[in-house]
Formats: sequence, C-alpha cells, structure tokens
Amino acid sequence: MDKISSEVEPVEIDVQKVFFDIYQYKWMILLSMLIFGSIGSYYAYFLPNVYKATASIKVGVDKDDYAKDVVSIAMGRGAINASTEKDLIKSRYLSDKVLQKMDFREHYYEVKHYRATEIYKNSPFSVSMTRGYGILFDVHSIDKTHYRLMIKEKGFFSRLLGNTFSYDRVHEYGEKVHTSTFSLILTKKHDSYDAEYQFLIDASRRTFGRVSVVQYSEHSTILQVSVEDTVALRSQEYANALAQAYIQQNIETKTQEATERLSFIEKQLYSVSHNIETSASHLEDFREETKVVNVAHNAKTILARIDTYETDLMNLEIEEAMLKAFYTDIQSAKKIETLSISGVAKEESILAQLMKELQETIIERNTLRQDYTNLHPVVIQSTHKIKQLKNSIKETSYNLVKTLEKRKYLLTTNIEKQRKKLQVLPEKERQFGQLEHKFKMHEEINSYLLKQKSEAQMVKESSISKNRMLDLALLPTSPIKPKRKFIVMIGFLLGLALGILFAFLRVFLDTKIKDESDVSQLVAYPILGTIPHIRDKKKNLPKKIKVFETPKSSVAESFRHLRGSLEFMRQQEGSQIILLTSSVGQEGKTTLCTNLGAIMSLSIKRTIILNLDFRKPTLHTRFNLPNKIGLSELLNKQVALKDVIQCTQYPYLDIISSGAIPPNPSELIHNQGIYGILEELKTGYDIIIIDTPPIGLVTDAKELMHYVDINLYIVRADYSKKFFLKNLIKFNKIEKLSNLGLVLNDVKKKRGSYGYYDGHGYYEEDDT
Amino acid sequence: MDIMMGMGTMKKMIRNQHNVDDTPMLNIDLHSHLIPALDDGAKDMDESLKLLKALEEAGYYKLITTPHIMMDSYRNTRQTIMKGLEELQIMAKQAGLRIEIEAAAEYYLDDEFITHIEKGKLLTLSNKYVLFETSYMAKPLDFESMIEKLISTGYTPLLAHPERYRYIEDFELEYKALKKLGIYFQVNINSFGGHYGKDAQDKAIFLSQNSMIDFLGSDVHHLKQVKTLVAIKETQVYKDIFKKNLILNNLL
Repeated sequence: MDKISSEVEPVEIDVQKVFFDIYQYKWMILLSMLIFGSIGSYYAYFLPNVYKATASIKVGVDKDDYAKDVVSIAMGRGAINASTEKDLIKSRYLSDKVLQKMDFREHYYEVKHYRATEIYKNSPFSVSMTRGYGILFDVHSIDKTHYRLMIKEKGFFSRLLGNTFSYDRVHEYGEKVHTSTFSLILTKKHDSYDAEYQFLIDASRRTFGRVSVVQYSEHSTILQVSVEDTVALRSQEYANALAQAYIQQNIETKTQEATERLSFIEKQLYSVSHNIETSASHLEDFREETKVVNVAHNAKTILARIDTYETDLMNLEIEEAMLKAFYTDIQSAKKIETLSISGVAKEESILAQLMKELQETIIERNTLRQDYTNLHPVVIQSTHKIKQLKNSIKETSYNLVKTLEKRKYLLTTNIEKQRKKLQVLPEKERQFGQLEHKFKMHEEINSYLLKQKSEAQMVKESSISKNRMLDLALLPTSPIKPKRKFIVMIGFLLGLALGILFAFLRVFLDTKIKDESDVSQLVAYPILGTIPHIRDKKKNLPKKIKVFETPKSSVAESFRHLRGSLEFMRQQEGSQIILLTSSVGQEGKTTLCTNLGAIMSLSIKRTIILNLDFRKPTLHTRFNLPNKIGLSELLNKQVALKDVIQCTQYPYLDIISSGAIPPNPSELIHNQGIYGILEELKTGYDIIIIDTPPIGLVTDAKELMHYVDINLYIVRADYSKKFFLKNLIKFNKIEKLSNLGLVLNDVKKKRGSYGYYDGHGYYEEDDT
Repeated sequence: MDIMMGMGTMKKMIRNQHNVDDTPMLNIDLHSHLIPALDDGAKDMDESLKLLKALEEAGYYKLITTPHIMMDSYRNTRQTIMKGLEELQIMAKQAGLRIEIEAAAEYYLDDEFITHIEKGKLLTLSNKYVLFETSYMAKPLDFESMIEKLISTGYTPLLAHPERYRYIEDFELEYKALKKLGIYFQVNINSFGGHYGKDAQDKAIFLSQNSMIDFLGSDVHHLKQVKTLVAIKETQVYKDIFKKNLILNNLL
C-alpha cells in the first residue's frame, strides 16, 4: 500500500479497447453506412447510362519517296502528324460541320420509375416548334388521338428563367398549339404505351457528348474516334458523322489549295499567250518585209544565249510574283500557318522548313492549352517561339524576294550585254534574231505554265483522300457508364469510414470515465469495488437499499465483494473506520454508504453510518428516520452521543444523521470533538462508515482522512470526468494518504475479454 | 443478437419435431428454491404450490429443493428448512399434487461455511453431495482449503451452476482445476437458453461439449423460469448434452 505510486505512465493505445470503444457505436456506423449507401444508390439510379460508339479511320502518312509525288507536293503541308489529326477531329470546326448535317436539337424522354431516359428516335411522337425552345414539356398520352401537354410550374428551366409559367391542357395530335410562350405541333409517329414522356428542344445546335480520339501506338496510322453519349443510337450516328466529316474536310482542303494555284497559273497564262501572239505576228511581219530567211551564225549564237537568259528571267519573274504575293499575304494575314507555300518554295527550302516548324509549334501550343492556361510558362514559351518563327518566315521571304531581285538584275544586265553585241551585227539580221528569240522564249514559258496547269487541275479534280474509313461505328449495346455497383459500394465505404471516424472522435474527445481501464490508466490506486448500475423503478419514491431488498442481486454481490476487499485491506484487529468521499456531488456517496452499511450488518458486524456531509443531509431519508438532532448538535455539545444514535429497522445497523444544517459546516468538521466521538463509537461498533463532503468542492475532511483506517474515493462511470482523478493525484501529493482506495460506481456495461454484460440476465431478480 | 439466436433455436425446434426423440427424461431435479419465504425463491405458499404444479406438469416426479444457506442474508438451518419442507409437503398433498418433495440446501462459501462443516451434519443430496455456490464476482480466497475440508469430512462437493461465475475467464484451465479438486458440476438448464446472459450460455455450452457436466438443475426461483425450462428442453443444444455427458440426476 505504501509503495503505490499515484501516477501511471501514459500507456500506448490498447487496440482491443479501442476496438470495443468503436464497437459501441456499431449502430451509428451502420446507420451512416446505410445513409451514404442510399445516397450512392439514389445517385446511381438517376445517373443516365452512357454509351460509347467507336469508328476507325486509317490515316495516310507521307513516306519519303512519296513526298515527291505531284499530288502530295500540292498538299504542301508536310508529313501527316497524328496529334494534328487528333486535334483536328476534336476541333469545334469539325463538330460544327457535323452539326450542320445532323440535327440533335430535339430531346425526347420517357419517364419510368421516376427516371427520365432519353429515347431519341424511339419517341412515339415528334415536335415541330417555332417558339418555346429550352422549355421542358411533359406529355401524357390519353388515347389514340389525344395527348395531355404540361409545363410544370416548378420546372428547372422556368425557375432558371425566373418565370412561373405553367400549362396543362389536352390537345389533339397534329393540332397547332399556340400560346404566348410557345408554339408547336405534336405529330404522332406510332402508338405509345401508357407512359409519361418529356421533350425539350434546344434553341441552337450545340455540341454534346464526349469525343475522344485514340491512336493505338505512336506509329499506328489508325485512329479510333469515339463518342460517349446517353443515347446509344446518337453516339453511333455522331461518331460516324464525325469520321466522315474528317475525311471530307481533308479532300476539301486539298481542292481549295489546288484551285488557288490554278487561278494564279491561269492569270499568268493569259498574259503569256498574249505575248506569244504578239511576238509571232511581229516575226511574221518582219519576214515578209525583209525576206530574211537565214540569220548569220554569229547572231544566232548570241540570240540563243539571250533566249536562255530571258527564259530564266521570265521564270524568275513568275517565281518573284508568287513570292511577292505570299509576302503580301504574310504582311496582311494573321494566320500565316494556313498559307500555302506550294509553288513558292521547294520542299527542302528553308522557308518550307520554317513553315512546317511553325505549324507543328502551333499544334503543340493548342495541345498545351487544353491542359494549361495562357499564362502557364510552357504556353508562354510556345507562344514566344511562334512569334519568333513568324518573324523568321517574314524575314526569310523578304530575303528571298531580295535574292530574286538580285538574280533578276544580273540576268537583265547579261541580256543587255548580249544585246549590245548584237547591235554590232547587221541591222536586219539583228532585228530578226531578236524577234525570233522573243517568240521562242514566250513559247517555252507557255508550255511550262500549261504543264503546271494540268498538274493543278489533276489535284483539284481528284477526290481521293489518303485517309479512309476503316470501320463504321456499331450501335453500342451495353452502357460503359455509370458503374452503379461501384458507386453504391463507394457510398457504403464512405459511410463506414465516416462512421468510424465519428466514433473515433466521440471516443477520443470523451472526457468521462467509462470503465476500470480508464481509471487504472490514470491512477494506480487500487479499485476496491465496481458497483453496477442500480435501476430505480420508481423515481419519486425514496431510494431503497438494494442490498436489503435483493440480497442475491448483482448489486448485493458487488458490495459483498467490496466488503471482502475491505476486510483484506484491514491493517489491525478491532473496529474499522471507513471514510467515503468523491469529487463532486451526485456520484453516489450516500447510496454507497447505506449499501456498504447494509452488507456489513448482514454479516453480523455492528455497523454505524455517520453523515458528516452537513450540506446534504439525506442519509436518514433512506431509512425513513427523522433528522431532528444529529452530528451538528453533538459536535456543538448540545446533546450526548447516545441521544443521536438512531437504530434502523435492520439489525446491527445504526446511523447518526447530520442534524440541523449548521451555519459553518467547515468549522464543524474541523471540530476536534469528532475524534472523541469516533473513539467512543469504536467500543460499540465493528464498522464505522463516515459520509463526508466531496473533496473536489471543499477539503474539510482532509484531517479526518489521515485518522481513518481506509478512505474510499467514489468515481461514477459515465459521469465523473477524467480530470477529477488528476486532481485526486494532486491532492494526494500533498496529503500522502496511503490508505486510499477507489470504488467505481454505476457501471452499466463492463468490457470483458469475452464480450459484454450488463445487469440483464445476470441474476435472478433482474429477470423479473 | 438475441433475436437471431431465438430464430436459430426455433428452426432447430421445428426440425426436431419429427425426429425420434431418444433424449432421456429428467425426472429428478436437485436445485430449486421452492419452500416459501426462506430465501429469494417462492415468496409464499401460494407461489410454492404454483411452482410445484408447473414442475409436475413439466415431467418431474421428484424434487430435491435447496434453500440458500448464507451467512449474511439467508441464515437458514436444518431446522428451518425441514420445518418448511414439512409444511410444503402437507400443502402439496392437500392441493392434490403427487410430486415427491425432498430438501437439501445450497451453501454459500462464506466465513461461516467452515463452521457449518465443523459443527455438524450438512444437508446433502443422497447422503453424499453437498450443493454449494460462491460469490459470482470473486473466487473466495480460501476456496481450495474449504473444498479439501469438505472432502476430508466425507462429503462430495457439488458446485451449483459453475457456468455463472464471472471470475472464471480461462474456461479450459479453471474448470479442469476445479474438477481436479474432486468437485462435481451441476449446470442450470436455463443457462443454455441465455437466461443468465451470453457469458453463462457460452460457459454452459463449453462444459457440455467437454463432457464436464454431472447434474442438470432447474434452479427455479419463480414461474417464468419453469416456462423457459420447458422451452429449452426442446432444443438441439439440450439434447446434445446427453450425447456428451453422463447425467446423474435420475440416480438421486
């Protein structure tokens, strides 16, 4: 006893105890699981099915030897890049093209079991509307010719628009329904079942569903175009339309480029053919006039040289004109990347490379923009690069123009030199040579342009795309989403997790003492007894003494056990003085006093209970005895000891009540007269039980605590706070009481190594 | 939990209705509190007679009733018990009951028990067995010495409801130790139905499965217990007792 340290080392969490603590909240956890499970089920039930339809496209990719093909040069866009094509398919440009062809604005729903399912083309009726877009209508079929049209007042859309328009009338199919809000005609397609329908027509064509493009591997040339939608048929139609639109736009782009080029060549041809005619007639006229048939050999050589130079010059001029046109376009156009460089620069030229790089960078930036904002460093970097590339293109094309001009200048000076040589030749001969040379030159240019024209025409006329449809999308039979079981399971698991979390918080934030383990974790004082909860059947009647009422009850048993413990702790023979105290009121001090007294008296021990708790004189009420005079009078020496001892109805059990409430309870306890009284009582009694005020409130009885044989400190389960015991430790650090024992009162449940028990079914009397 | 258990037993009961019942009848009971106002059993003669009638209807033809002898609550003696028995026998005869009634006692292992052994003859069953109980909460410190004393004096210790002691935690170890001391076990029939809680039920089933039961007792205090008793006798768990244990009731 003396060696007991009052404090206990903080122990690590006892897993079993935590489990039992949590287990107590099993119903709450179950409830939480049910709630979240039903939320999950509700959500899963109303979530529409999503179907996925997939079409495959084979994309033609340029190979190196293929690149020199006229057609692919005419394409002029460099090698096909899979990511470009993916972006293109997902672009709004393409989806707009699809929506121009397909009308997805009408939405028909079938309402079954509170769930509206979009039925698309399976609707038993169709609607044509001039006004009333965006309103959700309810349709109930009445008979073969009539239907009921409704707009619910609290519909989502009406609330959104802030109007409270509602409508409910019966109409005939085919009849024009005209109101201030809408105007429509409902046409019956086929007989409907007795079901509820809804329809809604969008004001404008809008994109929907989720388009995804998948390339099997990096080098695969097959793209899978998938569309996810709540209607299986619509997802199929949309996927196919999208794939076809992609192939179509490929052809269109190619044709457009060829057309542009053709018109340029035709313009050139027009002027050239005019020149041929002129130079041919000049030559003819000169021949007639001079009859020169043969030109001197010398002049012929010179003229041939001039001829070559001038053809070159002419080619240069065409090239320059094209380049200049391109340059002007660059200056004016915002979208440089869309300009064609066919005929302007050759595939391997710097300009072509720059253009290719520019296009790739723009695609890269577009891809980045899907994930990042414009302010993201990567995007900024990309934008910067594009700017630089554009400047490079401008500079390069400008330089190219300059180079061409220089070449032109050189050629022109060469021609001039040759001409001067020619001038030395005889006049006629020279003139003829010049004319002949001019004609030849124009002829050559003409043939070159004609060749170009036929090539461009070939490209324009061809409607063969390198891309082709591989597989059309099939009608999806089963939905890919939502995973209903999964959602419900997530709901249950979430409920479980939150329930356990809540239980954990409840357990860890609970400051009340619940069981013996809580006590033994805080203090090392021996627990001398554990008293189960005493059920009060009649709340208003004065409390009965359970030990007397039912001597074989679990409560009586627990007091018997406490009696045994007290007997075991007895230090010497003779009378034993037991002092009872607690932290605050309501912890069961008086009940413990009376029942302890009862169990003592039952074992033929002369027992007396003293009520020293002057503030709460209730002891006598348990025995139906008066409280006219008692300890307060005795301590004030107004009466003698034998006058205040009251015999109870039970043998061997007497009490001394508190007496009149004194004005100075603290002083009265400190009255040294108590020791004399106790000594005197020892001669007549085996057991003296003293009920004292709670030490949490006043420490009046601390002197007495050193005097008595044993101090019982009462802790009430689910009532006393844990800090009470910490205060007790502080108290005893000063007082250093060695004879201190705890009694845990009002235990409703006890954790055993094998489950739980409470009073139920434990003892006979508990069953009745 | 209890509801599920109840459903289980119900099913078993229905299943067993068509079986050939080879379970021996228990005709003799050795643990009850039927003498009026001696303990926490029957309160008056009227209740006693009702209990006797119910037990007779339940198939018993001999009852050895056992009032508590307990230092601090029920200070019964051979004299008070025998006097009460005589009155009960007379009244039962008058009421037309044919059931045979004898009396012994259920001793509580307290400080006075040793004096009882020393002072004179204990009330026994078949001149041999002394029915006793202990506190449910804690095993008495001098338990072993009291048992030794009992045996050396010539009695056979018979522990009432061993399944109901909370202080037994290691079933295997502690029950075997008790058996080794030479103690016979009397299990309450009602324990198999959970009448005294889940713990007592688990322990009763453990004792049954390990062939440790010697006697089966009714431990009747009031009428409700007779009703549950009759119900349990229809269950498979009850029938299984006789397959694993040698029940000595009918030898008394």
